[in-house]
Amino acid sequence: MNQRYVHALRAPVARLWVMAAALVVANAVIAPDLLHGTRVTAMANLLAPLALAALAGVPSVLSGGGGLDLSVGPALGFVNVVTVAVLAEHGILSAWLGIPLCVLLGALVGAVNGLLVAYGRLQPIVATLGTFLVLSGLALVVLPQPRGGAPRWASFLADGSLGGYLPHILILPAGVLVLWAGLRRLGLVRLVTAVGSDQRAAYTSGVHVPVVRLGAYTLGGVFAGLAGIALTALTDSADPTAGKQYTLMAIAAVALGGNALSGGRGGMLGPLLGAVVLFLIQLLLSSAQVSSLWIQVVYGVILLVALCLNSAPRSGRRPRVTAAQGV
Amino acid sequence: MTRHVGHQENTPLPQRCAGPSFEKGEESVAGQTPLFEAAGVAKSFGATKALVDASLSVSAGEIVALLGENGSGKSTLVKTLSGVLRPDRGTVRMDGRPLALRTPRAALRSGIVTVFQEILTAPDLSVADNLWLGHGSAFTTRSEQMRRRAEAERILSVLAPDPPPLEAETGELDLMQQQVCVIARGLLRRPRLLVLDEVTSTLDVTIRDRFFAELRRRCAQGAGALFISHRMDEVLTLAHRFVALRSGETVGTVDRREATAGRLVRLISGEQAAEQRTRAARTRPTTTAPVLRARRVVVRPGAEPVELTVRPGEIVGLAGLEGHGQDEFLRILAGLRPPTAGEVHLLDQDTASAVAVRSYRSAVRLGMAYVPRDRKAEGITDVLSSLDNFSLPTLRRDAVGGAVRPRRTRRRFTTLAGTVNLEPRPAIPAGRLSGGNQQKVILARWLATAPRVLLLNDPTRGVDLRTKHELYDLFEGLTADGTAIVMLSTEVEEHLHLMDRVLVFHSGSCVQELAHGETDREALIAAYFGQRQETLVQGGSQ
Repeated sequence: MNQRYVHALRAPVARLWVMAAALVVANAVIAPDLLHGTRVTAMANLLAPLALAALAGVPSVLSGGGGLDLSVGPALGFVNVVTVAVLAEHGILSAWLGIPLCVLLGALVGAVNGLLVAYGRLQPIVATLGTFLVLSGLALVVLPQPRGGAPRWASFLADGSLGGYLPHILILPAGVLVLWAGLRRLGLVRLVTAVGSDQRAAYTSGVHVPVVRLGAYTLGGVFAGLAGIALTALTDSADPTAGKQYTLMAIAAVALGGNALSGGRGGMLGPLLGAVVLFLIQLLLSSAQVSSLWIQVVYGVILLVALCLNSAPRSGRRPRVTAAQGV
Repeated sequence: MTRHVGHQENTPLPQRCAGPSFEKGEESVAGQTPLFEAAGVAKSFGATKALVDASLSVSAGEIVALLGENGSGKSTLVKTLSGVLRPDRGTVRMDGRPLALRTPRAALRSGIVTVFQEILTAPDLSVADNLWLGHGSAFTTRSEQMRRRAEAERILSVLAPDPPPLEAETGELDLMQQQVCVIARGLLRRPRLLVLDEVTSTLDVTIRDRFFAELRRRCAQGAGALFISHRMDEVLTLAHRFVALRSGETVGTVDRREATAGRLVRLISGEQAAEQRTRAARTRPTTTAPVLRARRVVVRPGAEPVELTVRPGEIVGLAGLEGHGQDEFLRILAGLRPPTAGEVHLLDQDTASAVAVRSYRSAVRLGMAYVPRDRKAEGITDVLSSLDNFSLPTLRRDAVGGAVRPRRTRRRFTTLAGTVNLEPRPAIPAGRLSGGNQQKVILARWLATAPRVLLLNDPTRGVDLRTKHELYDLFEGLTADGTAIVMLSTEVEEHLHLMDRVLVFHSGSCVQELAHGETDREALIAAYFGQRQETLVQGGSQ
C-alpha cells in the first residue's frame, strides 16, 4: 500500500472512520433494514445520549491533572428526571424555557465538579465519584419510580426528521460541535489544552489554571445537560436509574477516540466516532442474536481489541527533558 | 545604549530598603529611581532558609548578572520575582512603586517576565500557541490573531537563523528549539524587567549571540534584565553590574569596570573561615588494586569522556553546578543510566577480574550501593515503617525456608542503626522521621548489603549540621574498613575537607580533577564556572 495511506491510517480518527464503516457494512449485511428512514431515526435517537455523554467527557479529560468526569451519566439522568418530574410537573412545557433550564442544570453540576477539582484540590476521580453518588441518589429522591409525561418538545426531537434522513435529534450533537468550534476559534480550547499539556508551563506563562479547569468542567456539564435532553427525547419519559450506565460508556468512547487520558491531547471528533463505534458494536451483537448471557463478554472483548488497535504509539515523539537533566 | 554604570561604584554592599536616598551617587540624575528594586527579600521552607536577605536593583537599560553557587538562593529569588513563590519578607518595587507579586500572572502584568531554567512548554500546543500562551485575553479577533502570528514569526527569526515553523507541535521540537520558544515567549511580552535563569544552556553559539544582541537592543530601549548564567564568559561580556548571593544574602555588587573573573569568584565563594575539619591523619590509599573503573564514559553527546579509577578506602567527590553532568555520571556508575559511550567495571581484588555494570540490578549484585538524592521520590517509602524501609533489598537474608523471620530483621536493623548512629525505632513510619534520620535509614539499608562501593548522591542535602558531621564520621569509618565511596555533593565544604579527590564537571565533561590539598575554594568555584586555574596541577590518577 502507498506509504501515505499507511501513515494516514495511524491517526486514531482515521482508524475510527474505517472501524465505523466496517461496522455499518456488517450491520447492514446482518440486518438489511438498517438503512430505512424510520430505522435511521430510531438509531440516531439511541445513539444521541451516548454520543453526547462521550462529548461531555472530553473537556475534563483534556484539562489534565488526572481530569475525568465520572458524574456524566448520573448528571444526564438527573436532567432527564428533572425535566419530567419538576419542569413538566410545574407546567414548564415550552422548549424555549425547558431546554435552556436543562442546559443550565447541567452547567451547574459541571461547575460543582470544577470547583471541587480546581479549588477544592480534590482528585477528579474521587470528586466526580462523589457527585456521581449524590446525583444518583437525588434522582431517586425526586422520582422514585420511572414514569412518562415528557414535554412535547421531546417527541418533536425524537420523531421528526428532515427529508426522512436527517433526524431532528442530530441538532444536539451538531450544536455541541459548533459550540466547540467557536470556542476553539476564540482560543478557549487552546487554554484547556495548554493546562492539560503542562500546567506549570501554563501557570508560569500567566494562565489562570483553576479558572480554566473550572471552565472545562462546566462546559462538560453543559454537554451532559444536552445529553439529558437527548435521553428524554429517546425515552419520552423519565427513569431515575437510566443515566448511570452512560458514565463508563462515555469514558470508553473518549479513550477509544484517541484522546490522551493524561490530558492535553485530543479533540471532539475522535470521541464522537468512538461513541458511534461502541454503539454499532452493540447493535451488531444484538442483531446477530448473540446470547444475552454472552453479549457483555463479547462486547468487552471487542472494546478491548478496538482500544488496542487504536492506541498504537505515536511515532517521532521525543521524550521531554529539561535543560538541567541534559540530553 | 544607555548603560547606567558608575553610580554604584562606591557601594559594594547593597542598599537595604532604599528609599529615594538610594540614588545618592554622584553621577545619577536627580530624582531617578531604579526601574526595579528588591529589598530584604527572605523566604524559608520549613527550617531551611533559602533566602535570608536578598536585595538588588536594576536600572532601565541595565543588564545585571546575579551570581552565586548552588544553594545560594538564586533560583528561589527568581521564583519570588516571578510570582511563583511568595516571599516571607521584603519589598519589590517597580518605578519606586511597591508590587504584590501573588501569581505569575500578576508579575507578568507588572512587566516582570521570567524565563525559567526549566524549559516550560506545553508540548501539545503549536509553536505559535506556546509563544502567546497566557497572554492577555483568550478571546481574540481574527486580525489580532494575524498580528500575533506575524509578531511570533518575527521574534523567532530574530533569534534563530532556522526558526521552527509556527504550526509545529512544540513537543516534537528538539531541546534547543524549545528553549528558543520559551525565550521568544518572554521577549514577546515586551518585558520591562526580563529575568533570565540559565536560559543559554542548550543554545548554540549563533543563537546565543543573536539572543544577546536582541537583549542588548531591548535594554537600550529602556528595559532591564536580570541575567543568571553558569558561564563566566557570558556573564562578563553581557552584564553591566554583578550582584552576588551567598547563603541567601546579597554579599556584594561589582561594577563592570572592576570586574574580573577572579574577583567575581572570590565574591561568590566568600572568604569565610572554613570550618576546621582536618583529616590529615587519615592515610590515603594509592597502592591497593582499584575496585571501580570508569573507562571513557561519555555522559552526554558532545561531552568529553571521563576516566575514573577508585581504590578501596577512597572518597571521591563529584562537583559542579547543578545540571552539569555529575549527577548523570553518578547514575551511570550505578547502572541507572546507560552512558553515551564507555563502560563501567567493578573489579574483583582476589581474582583480578573485571565485570561490566550493565544495569542497576547487576550493580547491586556486584556489590555497589546507590543512595539517591531525592529521598522522597527514590529512597524512602513514607508510609512503611523504618524497619520495612531498611529491609527492602535484604529481606531475603532473613528468610528461612521461604518464610521471613521478623526477629532476624529487627536484630540486623538494631546493629546497623548503631553503625549509623540512629536510635532504632523500627515501627515508626519513615515519613515521620527527620531528613537526617531518613538518610540514616537509607544508609543502613544499603550498608546491610555490605557494599564494596558506595555511591552517594548529595547525602547531606537537607540534613542538619550535627547529623552531617555524624555522616562524615560514618563515611570516614567506612573507608577505613575498605569501602570505596563516590559522593556527589553540592557543598563546597565537603569537597574541601572530606574528599580525597574531586572531579569537577562542566557541560557534561570533567574539566578538572583536584587532589586533596590542592583543592581550595577559589579553584573549585572557578572550575564550577568552567574557568581553569592554571596555577593548579591537575591531580589524581588515570
